[in-house]
Amino acid sequence: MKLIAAKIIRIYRIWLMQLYSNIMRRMAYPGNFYLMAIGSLFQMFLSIAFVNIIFSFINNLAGWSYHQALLVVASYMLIEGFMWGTCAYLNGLSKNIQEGTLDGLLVKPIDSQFFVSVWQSDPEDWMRVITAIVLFTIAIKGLDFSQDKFILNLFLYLFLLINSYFIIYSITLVIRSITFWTTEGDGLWKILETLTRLSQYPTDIFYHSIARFIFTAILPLAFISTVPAKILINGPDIKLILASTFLAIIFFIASRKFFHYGLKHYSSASS
Amino acid sequence: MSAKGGSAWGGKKYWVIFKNKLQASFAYRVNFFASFIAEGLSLVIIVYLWLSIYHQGGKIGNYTLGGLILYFIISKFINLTVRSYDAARYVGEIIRLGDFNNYLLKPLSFFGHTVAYFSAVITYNLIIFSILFSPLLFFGKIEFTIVNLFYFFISLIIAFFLNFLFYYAVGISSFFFGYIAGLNFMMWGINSFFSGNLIPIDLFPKYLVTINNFLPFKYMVFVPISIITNKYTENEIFLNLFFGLSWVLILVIFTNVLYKKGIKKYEAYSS
Repeated sequence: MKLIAAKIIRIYRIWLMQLYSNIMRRMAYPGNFYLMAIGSLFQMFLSIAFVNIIFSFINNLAGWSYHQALLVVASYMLIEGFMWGTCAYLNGLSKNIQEGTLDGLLVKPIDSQFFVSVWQSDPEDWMRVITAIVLFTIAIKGLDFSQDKFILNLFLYLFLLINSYFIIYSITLVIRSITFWTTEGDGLWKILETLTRLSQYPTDIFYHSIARFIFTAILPLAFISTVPAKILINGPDIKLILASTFLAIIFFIASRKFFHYGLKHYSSASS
Repeated sequence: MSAKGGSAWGGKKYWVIFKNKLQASFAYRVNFFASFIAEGLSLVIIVYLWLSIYHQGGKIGNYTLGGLILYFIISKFINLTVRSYDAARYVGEIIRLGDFNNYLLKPLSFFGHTVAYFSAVITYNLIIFSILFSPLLFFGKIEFTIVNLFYFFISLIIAFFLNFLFYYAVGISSFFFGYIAGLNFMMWGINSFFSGNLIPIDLFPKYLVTINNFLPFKYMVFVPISIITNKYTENEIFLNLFFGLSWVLILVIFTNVLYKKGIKKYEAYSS
């Protein structure tokens, strides 16, 4: 137990140091850093403006009221913010493979996947998380919750968001790992980026069963932000919670295996 | 806009740049098709969003469901063909990394080089996507005439130059800011929203429509779509093309001034 705790503390320290180094790197161009932060903020406002414009014409979107839809957007923003803020959608992995500098990271006495993942993060994107929290608060204020129910639902919501994070992280890791073979993974990344962005709409808009199957079972779009928001609003749904947890675990294990399989095919360009 | 201040606009060398880039575009197709899949996926979900709204009896402004779907199909077409978001990054990195020195030493206009380079990208996109999208336009039952198609084509050329000049201006801001990723990101957000790429701008609140009338963005997406979907009378088409062209001229003057001021600040460090 002590050993595990020591490992976790070590990993946490390395992550903090890496975050600090990323902040320093970004602050080499302070103007750019602030503009990036404002840009992130602006992008979030665009998402809100989009919802506002739609709801100026309708009262509910596939059964979701205005504040409920805002909650879905806030959930998407949180995941998006954490993904950029903690691992920059694993941008560092592709970059290091393409530039042949991955060796330097692999020889470090730490789990390769972890170090490669946190090697690059975009600190300015924490602005997205702040905006998301503000939006989340606005959405919650517009919804009726009894105090006791809310705390349990909020706990489950946060748990499901962690699952969402791992689902997105795992899919990203697989897509970025393809760079081991192709050295050019930007194209597939565009598809992933689009998919993530589209998870800001409640997946109930897919009223055809085939579309709903594709966007929930094959591409787990629903589990990114719609399911967590649903649980927060309606309360526990064991089936959904289990499905989300199962997906997160399976995706994470599969992506880790795929990453290590890809590593075996890595032919360092620098050496 | 010669890097040396004199006229370096001799046709043949830019034709060579254009030809080389066009050939390269045909050779590297992975990213191109990935963009197509990503935009296609995004279109499917946007279409579902509107289907879901209309399915439950809602209506957005004066748009019929078919009208809105058609709007987004043409918007995707414009996005994939004439938008030159990459121009800012391309120009910005040349300046930031010091490769711009080449343009100071060689009898080659930097502006001419960049126009030739991106004209090739756009030509390639137009050829491929016109083929891919043409069946959709026919199935979309647009009642357009050859004259309309001609005006649409002119508006696309204007849209290309407006987009290009807009992002070129962002790119040459690198003379002043160094790293312009943040500025580019912010400008991309503003451009996407105000050009009508996310939502038709006639659905905006009135004050935003008024503000937008004084900006160049609507000529990049909204006006070409309105022309091909017969929303304008012939007089309105002429007026919009005239204003679009005026904005092109304004941006040419603006980028020229920015370039001349920037070159005085350029320190030619790095390579």
